[in-house]
Amino acid sequence: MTVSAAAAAQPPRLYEAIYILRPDVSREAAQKVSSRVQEVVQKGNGQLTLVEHWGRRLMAYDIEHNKRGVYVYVNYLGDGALVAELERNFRMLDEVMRFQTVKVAGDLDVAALKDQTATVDAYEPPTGDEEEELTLEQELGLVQGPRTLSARVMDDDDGMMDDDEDDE
Amino acid sequence: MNTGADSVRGDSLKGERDAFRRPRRRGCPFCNDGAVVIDYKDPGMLRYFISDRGKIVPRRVSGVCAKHQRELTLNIKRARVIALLPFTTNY
Repeated sequence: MTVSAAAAAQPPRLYEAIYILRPDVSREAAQKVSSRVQEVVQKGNGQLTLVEHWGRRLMAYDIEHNKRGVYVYVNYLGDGALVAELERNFRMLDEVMRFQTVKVAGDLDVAALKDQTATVDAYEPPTGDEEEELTLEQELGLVQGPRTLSARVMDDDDGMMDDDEDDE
Repeated sequence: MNTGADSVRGDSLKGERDAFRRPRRRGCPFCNDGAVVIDYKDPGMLRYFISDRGKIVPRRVSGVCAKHQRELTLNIKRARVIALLPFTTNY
């Protein structure tokens, strides 16, 4: 069996990608990115199985001086070459601030996934008055949510704790 | 050499102190509850395993088993890349 035949015999793998668009992206620009993703996946003999718009959300840190980003989550079947091609396209698109592709682990029912075909629905940019108010702590990135389990565990185990936790 | 009275007193104090300091041993939260999946897309769950400064909590503190700590670390790092979790709070 030649190398190319072996590669062709490989079943497609499921990948998930998340990309973050600029917060001020227009509906048309978001649509353009979505259709480019669809086009690249189709050209690479892949298949989009899921597209989810997570909407505009606050990021844990600033990216390109933006506090918020528009998150889009996609699942697709394909091979390594398709991943490389899609990531090359993400790099070229100015609207995309950040992206990450992860191979979905575990045994998958690829045949069942092949029946799923995701349609790219339009991203609806929020209107200005939907903006929720941030507290000063949230603005400064100090808020960690409710008191965490880790903080409680640390208090309990103070007898075991050294001065600093990164001393190993 | 301690007198009998001293040693009894010393033992009881030592015992009390040990009881106070002995950490409660909890099992690995992921081994105990099979329903909990470690996923980089769930920052709410991962937040329990990072410190207030955003550092990954060592397993000697959190009680997570080695297998799940490896998985947890990988997923926290993935979540950081797509800004679902902070690398640090001091930027």
